[in-house]
Amino acid sequence: MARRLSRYRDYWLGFAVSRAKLSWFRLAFFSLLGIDAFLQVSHAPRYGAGGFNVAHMAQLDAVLPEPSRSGMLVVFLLMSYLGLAIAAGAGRGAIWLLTPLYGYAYFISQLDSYQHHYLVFLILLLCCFVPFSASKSAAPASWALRLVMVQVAIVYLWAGLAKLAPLWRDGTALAMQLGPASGRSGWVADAIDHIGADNAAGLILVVELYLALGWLIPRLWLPTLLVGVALHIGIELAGFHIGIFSYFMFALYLLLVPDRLIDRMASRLAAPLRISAALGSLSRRPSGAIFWIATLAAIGAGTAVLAILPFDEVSAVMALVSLFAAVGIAQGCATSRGRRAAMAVAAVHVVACSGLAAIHLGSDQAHDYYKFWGGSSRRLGNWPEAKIAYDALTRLSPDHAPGHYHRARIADREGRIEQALAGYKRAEKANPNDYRAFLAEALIHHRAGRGADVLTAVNRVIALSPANKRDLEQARALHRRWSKPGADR
Amino acid sequence: MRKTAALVFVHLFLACQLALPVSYYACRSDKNDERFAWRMFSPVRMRDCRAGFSIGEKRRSVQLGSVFHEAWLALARRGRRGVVTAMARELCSRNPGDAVRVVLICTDIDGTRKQHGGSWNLCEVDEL
Repeated sequence: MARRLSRYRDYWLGFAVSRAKLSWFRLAFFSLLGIDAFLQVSHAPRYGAGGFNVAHMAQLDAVLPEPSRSGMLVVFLLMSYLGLAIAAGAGRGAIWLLTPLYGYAYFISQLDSYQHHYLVFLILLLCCFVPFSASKSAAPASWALRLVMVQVAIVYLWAGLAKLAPLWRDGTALAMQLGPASGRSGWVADAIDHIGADNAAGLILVVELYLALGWLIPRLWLPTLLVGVALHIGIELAGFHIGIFSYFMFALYLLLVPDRLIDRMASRLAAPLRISAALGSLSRRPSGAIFWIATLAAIGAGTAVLAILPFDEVSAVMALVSLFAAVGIAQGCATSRGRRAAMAVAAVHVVACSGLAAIHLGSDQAHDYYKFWGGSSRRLGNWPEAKIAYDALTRLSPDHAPGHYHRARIADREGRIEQALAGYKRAEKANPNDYRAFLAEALIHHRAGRGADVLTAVNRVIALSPANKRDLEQARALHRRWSKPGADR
Repeated sequence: MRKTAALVFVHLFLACQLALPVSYYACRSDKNDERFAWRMFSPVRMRDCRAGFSIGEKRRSVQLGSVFHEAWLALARRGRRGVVTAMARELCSRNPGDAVRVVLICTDIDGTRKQHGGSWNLCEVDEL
């Protein structure tokens, strides 16, 4: 009994992980977290829209600040920054800062009901206790990382058990989600069609239950790695709208890669990727002046990069990330490594800010943010906010026809007719196949009694033959009205 | 001491990860609410629900899109009764003195239909 208990304690407390594996896991997991957080920016406008929210737990509504568009935007940007900073080597303090921020972003509203965000939160919570950099040991023991692995097994176990439902086992659910009936095409749909949805559903159920077991037993890690990665490649290729969940799972599967292999990878690739160590070693004994100039320049330059983010809230984000960096540098100075540690923090800050800017440049998040903000404000009748959103959208994307159209609609509604007309013209030019701007323009000319202009615009609408019958009928009525002899007088 | 604390944390964590999904099967009245139960790609997720809200004794219908963000309407279409009830409560606060009724009809992927609510005023009875 005592031996069993000792082995059980050892299962948790004696679990050692190679430092190289820890470094790779940190790099992959937190980079993805940084990217994923930025990819939530476009969802910020839904928070607090219409003054309505339902938290995941009713008690949270009372104790935490109500979510708002601008507040969540700042939270997502800070989460992205911290994720990238941790990937680049920021210490445990950054993880401790990121975890409650992530928890707030997830639990404050049921608008985020992605199960993978819940999983990421749990793993983040456990990462607070993982010795990413504290220990000098080549293979530090980590009960928290063991718990991460058990948590993954738990997810597979429950996911598998949920699939014991008759509607899954007989293949109905899978066929509707992936098979030809779902309207999806590609080899996944073909494969399901070929082997039968019931057989495929059974196979997935068995695979998930196997993975639940495989994550718990070290001897099964290699086959579990192969089976699990194949499953998630399949899920990714199937085209579900599950964000970057598959990539998070790939990052977790790094934990199952044999140490020998990961050590070989580490020796070739990991060292250059350890940015903090590399840049920290640039100056082993920086003099006082050089140290301060270099660190302040790094903070300034890193933060300045964020000015390209086209959000009004960016100044608050810049102030906060500079504060994080300053606190990190002060902490670094207080350690035995002193100035070297402080310079490493400054370097991490530059990398994180540059990463944030790069993700912005490589994505449509800012565009979508204003588009969704404008759309939801318009539908909820919040015209002042819709105007701000569409103004920003058309500045950011000058060729975005719907942006010009809706901006012109607001001007039209407010009686700024010349601006409305100019906006409709911009929309028509940006997309000559969208009839709505032509119809709206025709209505302005109709009200002003400019028959010839009405006819020019409605002829275009009729030629485009809109699917909306009411709009088509309105265009035809305008055409009949203004084509009568002498109508334009 | 630190090791003992770690083991306590581990077992509390594991207890939560067992209890939360078990609570879905054992005692959660709203089976459409699969949060924290790790039921990825489940058949329940594919249920199609329609929530019809009406206000006042004449039961005038509500243009939900002009009151709630479409993301909430999407959650209502998934039949999340907690969200639908909160939406009803919001309508109660915006229409003081009026009754708010909701009919939630969910259709399973095998065609089975279930209906919740309908007759009672959610401003007085806080459960669908």
